[in-house]
Amino acid sequence: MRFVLPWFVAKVAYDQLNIIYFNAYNHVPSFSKTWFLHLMPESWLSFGPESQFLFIMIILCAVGATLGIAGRLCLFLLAGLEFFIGGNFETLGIFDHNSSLSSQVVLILALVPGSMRISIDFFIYKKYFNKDNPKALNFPPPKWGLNLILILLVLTYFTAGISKIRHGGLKWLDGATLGFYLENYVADFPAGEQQLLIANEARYSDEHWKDTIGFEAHTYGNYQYRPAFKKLGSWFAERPPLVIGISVITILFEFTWFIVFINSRYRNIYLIAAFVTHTMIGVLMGLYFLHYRFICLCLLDWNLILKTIGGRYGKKIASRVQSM
Amino acid sequence: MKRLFKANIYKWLVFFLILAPNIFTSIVGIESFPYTSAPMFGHYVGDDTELYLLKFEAVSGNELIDLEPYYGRPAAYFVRYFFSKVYGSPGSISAFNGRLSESPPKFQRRMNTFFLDFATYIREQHGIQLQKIYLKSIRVDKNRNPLAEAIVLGYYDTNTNQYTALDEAHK
Repeated sequence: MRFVLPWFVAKVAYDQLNIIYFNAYNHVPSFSKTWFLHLMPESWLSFGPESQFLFIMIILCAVGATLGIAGRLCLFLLAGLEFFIGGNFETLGIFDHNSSLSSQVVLILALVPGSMRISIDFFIYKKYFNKDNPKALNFPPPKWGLNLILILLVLTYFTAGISKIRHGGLKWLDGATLGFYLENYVADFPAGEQQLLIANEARYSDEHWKDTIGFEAHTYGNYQYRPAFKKLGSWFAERPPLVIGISVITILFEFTWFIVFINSRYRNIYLIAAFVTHTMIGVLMGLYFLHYRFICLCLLDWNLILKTIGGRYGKKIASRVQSM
Repeated sequence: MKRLFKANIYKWLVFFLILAPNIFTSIVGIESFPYTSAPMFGHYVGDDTELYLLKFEAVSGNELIDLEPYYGRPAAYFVRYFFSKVYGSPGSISAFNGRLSESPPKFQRRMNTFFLDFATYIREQHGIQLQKIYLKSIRVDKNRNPLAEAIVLGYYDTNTNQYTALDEAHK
């Protein structure tokens, strides 16, 4: 996870910074700031030629994090950079739900024991600063770091499930919402018609006073553009029982997060289900959530998978890896 | 023993630092990058749901101008930003920002600030002086076909730096 995830986060941060940097309208009024941006000096929130060093810093931090050269510092700075850049990107209008998790996982890697076991930092430490007691470092690192990442991941899924019931009620399970999004291909509409606002019954609420409509939310988009995948999405949308089924399975998946803590077998089942879910969302909606899928793969108990499906050789490899 | 105790304190500190803001946003139902309550696709869209487009138009001299070419960012970003950060949903808590309270004076201040920024940006970047900016909503179906005449939600006067709502719920 430490070798690859920093590059995913760095790529997102780089692309977001590119958009922010060349965006003409980038003033950030106080009410737009994220909590993290409130901690930053005001002068840091405008992007001019002096901000170009940020592009270099992103790359240097990713290299340092991967190779483990001042590894923890690089991971910490990379997480901080994405909190900063992602926060500014949110003020442009888009909350990146992909990097919101991965940037926090990078922060966790900076803070937890064991993340630098294979790194230049650790090599230098063993060779030059711990020569007298090499055996002191031959123990497996505590597992709480991995557990923390797992907790954060399943918390995100659980939160998503709560949000659907909180905002949509049990009606969300009737499949209408999912059916709408399966065919809301934003690229099919001109720029000024891609973003819709939703109004249901909020106008009747005592808390509503802004207008007679009661805008509750903005829609999200279906960014799939491949004709074959769009056809598949429409095929699903035209079959209400299927869409209802997918809606119910989605909620069940989001509310059964706790099984990851039963044992490794259930953890693997849940994470594989998560991987498949994200893949299907990618195919049907063009939202591939690559960072989530990668984190799921990293959190699998590969020893168990190798022992289960790898046959005799799988068991040999698993026990070798375990002894490392 | 002391080392183990310190290691445990560190562990719980890291757990708290990472999980506390995430749990808070989940419980309250808000978001502020990178913390989110994951509201994506959560709001119900059914047969009776009303769908709207937002439009910004302005008076400059004798002309009425569609301001979409002057958003300074993709139109979808602009509308999403305006709704999430400026206009907001009903109620004190919105799933699309990190605010914990809402009131008519706060709403008024945000709208005034937003429109002042917007009008200033158009003047400085495009050399167009605006007198009034109208905020309109148009009810559409899922294919964006209009279903009714546009409603003027309010307008901003650049001379007075005030947004005036024309479609208030209690009127």
